[in-house]
Amino acid sequence: MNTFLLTTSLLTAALSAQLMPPKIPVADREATTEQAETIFKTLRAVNDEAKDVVFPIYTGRQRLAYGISIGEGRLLAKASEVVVNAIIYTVDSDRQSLRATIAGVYPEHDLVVLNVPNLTAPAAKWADASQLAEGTFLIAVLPDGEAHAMGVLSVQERSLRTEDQGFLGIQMDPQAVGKGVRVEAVVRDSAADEVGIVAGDVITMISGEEVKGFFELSNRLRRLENGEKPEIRLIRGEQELSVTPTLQGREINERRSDQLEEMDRMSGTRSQVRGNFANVIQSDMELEASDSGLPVVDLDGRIVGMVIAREGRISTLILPGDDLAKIIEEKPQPLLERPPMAARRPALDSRRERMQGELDDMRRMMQQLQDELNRE
Amino acid sequence: MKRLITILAIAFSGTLWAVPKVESLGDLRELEARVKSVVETRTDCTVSLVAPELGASGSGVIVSADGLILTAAHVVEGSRELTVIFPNGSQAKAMVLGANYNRDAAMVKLIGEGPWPFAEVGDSSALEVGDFVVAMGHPKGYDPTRRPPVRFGRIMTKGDLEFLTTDCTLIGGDSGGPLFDLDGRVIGIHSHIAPDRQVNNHAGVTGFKSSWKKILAGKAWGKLGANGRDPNRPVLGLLLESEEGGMRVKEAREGSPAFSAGIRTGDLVVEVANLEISDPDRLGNIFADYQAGEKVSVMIYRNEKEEPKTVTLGSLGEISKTYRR
Repeated sequence: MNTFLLTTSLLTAALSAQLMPPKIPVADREATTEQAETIFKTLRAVNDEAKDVVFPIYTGRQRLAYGISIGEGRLLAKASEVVVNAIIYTVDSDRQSLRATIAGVYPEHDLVVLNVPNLTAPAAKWADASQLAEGTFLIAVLPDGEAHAMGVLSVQERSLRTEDQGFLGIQMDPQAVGKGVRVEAVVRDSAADEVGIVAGDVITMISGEEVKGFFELSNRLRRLENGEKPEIRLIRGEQELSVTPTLQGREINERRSDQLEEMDRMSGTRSQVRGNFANVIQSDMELEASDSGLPVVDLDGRIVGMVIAREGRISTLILPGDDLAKIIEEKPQPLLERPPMAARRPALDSRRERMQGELDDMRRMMQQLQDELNRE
Repeated sequence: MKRLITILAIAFSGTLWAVPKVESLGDLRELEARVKSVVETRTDCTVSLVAPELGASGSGVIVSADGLILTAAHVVEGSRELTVIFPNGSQAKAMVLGANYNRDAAMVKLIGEGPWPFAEVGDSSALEVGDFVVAMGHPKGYDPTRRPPVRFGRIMTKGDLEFLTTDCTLIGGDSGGPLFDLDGRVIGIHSHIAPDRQVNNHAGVTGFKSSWKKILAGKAWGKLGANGRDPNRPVLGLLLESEEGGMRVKEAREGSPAFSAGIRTGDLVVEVANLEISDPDRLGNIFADYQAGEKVSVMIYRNEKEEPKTVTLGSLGEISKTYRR
């Protein structure tokens, strides 16, 4: 079993686990488990509203995800997890299996609307998540009213799309610090190129704020949006100039170190589609890939969002409730293409889920037999 | 804040040890309020540390108005200077001071005039399994589109050398970042993780305190994850046995550092480095702050009298030669 040091460096090798027990002693494990159980029991009180709108989605015995009722026999779910070349169904609160069909998709949000004609469930009341502070307690709620996970709001609403971030198109020396930042090179046809910034220029100010190094300048630019027009002051030789470029979108693939990838991979399952969302909140609640679609509530029981992806060890991504309310006002697009069956990897179901699946299969068989008997 | 403490104190009495219990929605709301307050007041002092020439980055936390930063030893390894990036996107330079690699503890000093935003330093030895904690840092490196992500959790277990294990999930880039108690005091520095999401390890800040001056003075020593057989490990050169009130010297060989300092077979060692000790296993924790060649005070008890001695620590590699003869 490996222990990992936590720099982002490629240079740091994995450290063999001599420092700390990689396992928690039984007594400590028991004490903390008991503590968690008490907390989760307390949380039942806030899960009431959410539990009535969440339903599991299965194919065969495998639970793919959860879906949230949006009324009129429709469920909202994560498209990349539930759009499969197989029959999918949900199970309602009376443990009836109900066939679900695809009504349409919102591809840019990785969302799908399922039709479940016989499902009687209220529509989820979406709450505003934009005002929640970092550190707010968030709970993912299961159909039986239990909290599946509790975490905090780690990062407030933001876009994960790099193309939404401002891109000027200059190269700088990351180590240089001083009065202003020297432009080493300019990307052709970039925002910088368009306003005539050339290599050798020294950028001193952006939107009225001084910059003294690569990181400051880069951070300021990335906080601006694609299309914004910041005033940039620069020194060229003896001259002081001011330019107002129209920023383009950043189209840079972040380099990910193998070691970071390994740390995420070893820490549980991850959603296949887990990035590029236009607006998400991030939580540290510990879930698995098959937990997408769970409603997320705050301590007032308000449904502030829906789990859209398990991103990695520290991160679960949640679509904010107010966004979801807006998204479903629009009609979903028809699904044009189904993924090949092979695209779905088998999920690692827990023993309990497998048994539950078998029980559901038996129930369905009994129901069919009963139907046939009634017919004769 | 007071009320929660009272509630928890009552809950303690019923349990074997002090696992704080949260038994009502009211308790949860109080807890949430305290977590939010930590985040609100401590985000600004949670910085990203970048070594541009190595292309590596970790995190750190400012603990004084004049810009002292605590971080992990493996974050400063190979650097004399680091670039500090603040949550608001601005940058500054910092000088690497010292590091105690045994404890993965290091210090860095911001260059430039303060006052800088800072967090107080707490006490990690006072923490119990189940205590609530808040972790921050700059996972996967500084990201201008977000502030340091907040992780909430509990102390899962306590390890050797003042290390703490929590279920606050960490990942690369978090290294050196702060673990706070619910009062916003720094109690640990993120160090390393195991695949189990509940095993995230932090260097306890009490481990920093025991060699604070040395690290501050720029000394660097030790080895992260070194085992008991590390030949550079500092030792007294005695065979000791645990006894009530001290450690009995079973053998003090001629030529060993302790023998040279006047300690003999049959003496009772009652204090090492001004700390009372009766368990030889605890010497590892004390000597994590020392290196071979350094002097350490040893109090012995002989003929019903206490006698102070000063031992120049040897290294295990050297001493084992003496004992092999």
